[in-house]
Amino acid sequence: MKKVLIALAAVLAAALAAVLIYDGTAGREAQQTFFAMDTVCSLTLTGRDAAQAAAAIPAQVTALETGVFSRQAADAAVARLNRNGGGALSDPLAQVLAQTWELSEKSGGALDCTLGAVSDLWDFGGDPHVPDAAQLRSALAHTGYQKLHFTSGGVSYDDPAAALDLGAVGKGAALDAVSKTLQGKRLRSGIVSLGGSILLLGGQAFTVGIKDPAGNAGECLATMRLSDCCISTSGSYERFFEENGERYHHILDPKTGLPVRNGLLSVTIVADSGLVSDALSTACFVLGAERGMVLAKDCGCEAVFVAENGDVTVSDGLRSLLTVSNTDYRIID
Amino acid sequence: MERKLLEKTDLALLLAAVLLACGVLLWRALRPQTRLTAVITVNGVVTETVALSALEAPLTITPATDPPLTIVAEPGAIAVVHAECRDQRCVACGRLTKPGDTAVCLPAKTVVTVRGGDVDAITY
Amino acid sequence: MDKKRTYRLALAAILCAQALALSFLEGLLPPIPWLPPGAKPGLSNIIIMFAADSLGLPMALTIVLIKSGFAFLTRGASAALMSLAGGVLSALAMRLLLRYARQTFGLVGVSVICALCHNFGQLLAAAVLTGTRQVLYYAPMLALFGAATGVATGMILRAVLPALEKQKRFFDR
Repeated sequence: MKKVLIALAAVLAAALAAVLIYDGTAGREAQQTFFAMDTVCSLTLTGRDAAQAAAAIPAQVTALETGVFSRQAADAAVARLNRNGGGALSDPLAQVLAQTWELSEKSGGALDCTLGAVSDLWDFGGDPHVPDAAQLRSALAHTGYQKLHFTSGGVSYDDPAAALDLGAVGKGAALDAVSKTLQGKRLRSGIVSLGGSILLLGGQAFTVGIKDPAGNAGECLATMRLSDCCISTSGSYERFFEENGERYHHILDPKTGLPVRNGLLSVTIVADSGLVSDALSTACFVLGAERGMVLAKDCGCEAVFVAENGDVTVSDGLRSLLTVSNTDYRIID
Repeated sequence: MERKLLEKTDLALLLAAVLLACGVLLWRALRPQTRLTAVITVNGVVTETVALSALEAPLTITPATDPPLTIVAEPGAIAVVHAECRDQRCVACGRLTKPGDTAVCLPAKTVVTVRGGDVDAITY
Repeated sequence: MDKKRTYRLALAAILCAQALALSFLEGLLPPIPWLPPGAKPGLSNIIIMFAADSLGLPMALTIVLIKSGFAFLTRGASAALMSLAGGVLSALAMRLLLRYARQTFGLVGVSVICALCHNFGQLLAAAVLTGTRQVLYYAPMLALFGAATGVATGMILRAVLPALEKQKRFFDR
């Protein structure tokens, strides 16, 4: 009887310990909502280190914006490069720039990280307007990713008027930095959203919705079950203005300097890296559904193309994970 | 007080208690977690969104409406607990706990809706 | 006859003092994480159980009442209410077990049931006090805790039973 009692006590203690340990890592959830990179950011972490890890993220994202990626903040690395027509590179910018350049080339210029002069003319961040055609032509002459040359430990511009603009990859690159920070923390799961670019952590499957361009905030046209990946969307509905009855959105074709008009509403890319998903969502939007799908497959990413007529094109790997929830949209082959 | 220390029934009792407790804990851990958000709209403008699932203690909200309303959000639920109007219909709606649950106060032009549950994040 | 009553009363007073001492000692323990504030191993249940058995339910309930009065003085009204709810429920359980299941359970079983009733009573009181059902979230955790402490108090009771019996005999003369 005594032995049974000891065994029972041991089982009881083990059960209690297991439950306490499980609860210790699982029970804590921390949320943050903050403004950075011109957009609303939010994150939800669960796990033992959740509160401490979540508290550090807003400052990290803000520091990346003002210290590295911004063209406006005087101290930002990108602003300094643009002022000096190049200069020394250090991480994380060196890595981000190398990756972006590679994707620019892979996309045949559909992504161009030197579109600064052109986007200045449109001024989507400030007072958007249609630029003068002659001005646009001369600004276009100062773009082209080929104008960047990487030297050992630095970059130089062939054209001093060229301006690096990492707007298409900034949020994704920031997600990668956040992901790096969260590695090694005792977390069970995490969702980080920087203005609609999302990072999923922890092996747990989450339901990610693709915003319905015609709907209100919070309304989705489709949902996907995903885990451990990054998701980015480029949509023509996101930033736009109207002039003389015409609608102009913020995704510019590097070849013409004009908003892309190819019947697409949005492109969503699922990738292992935030930078890749962010960059490809823009590049694939510019390329259109057909060529965009080829590029996404080339890069080993999954993609969803939503067209203005309601057609949704989904890459094979996502087909079984995606559910269209709005009857205005249908999947086509 | 003469008793044996341990009877067979004691073991059965302990086992039952531990299994039951662990079962509840396990069910709770494995149950798909729904993230509920309450959205309060006054005059068509969203004045407040509350992440109900993340709440740890009840939260009292008094939106600037005429007539005044008192709304209490608690972990997993939200309710209009007091309304200074005659019809009291929003109070009668009780606790809103499921996505889609809605309480409307026409005199105050206020809508309280529970959203989410199915989507963890939205990409745009 | 009167003398016997006096002895019983004296025994009750001694048991009561012992219960108070144990609950005071428990109060020195830090709050246990993952359990609601106020969750205690319930060592004084040892005494209450013995009292319910040897002096009957009314005396046991009196001790419970005095104990919660002590909690009121030292830790405030809500602690007193929780102590009262837990104590009454566990004393009742003890009495019912003695009457209807004398042979079924051993000391461990009885004290586990008492511990569970004690915790459940406290939880109910907390639910009433805070006006939320959310505290019931703690129930499974508390049940595990109660099962563990029940086994412990059962074993302690067995160990100190000779001493308690001796003490009782001293007053039985």
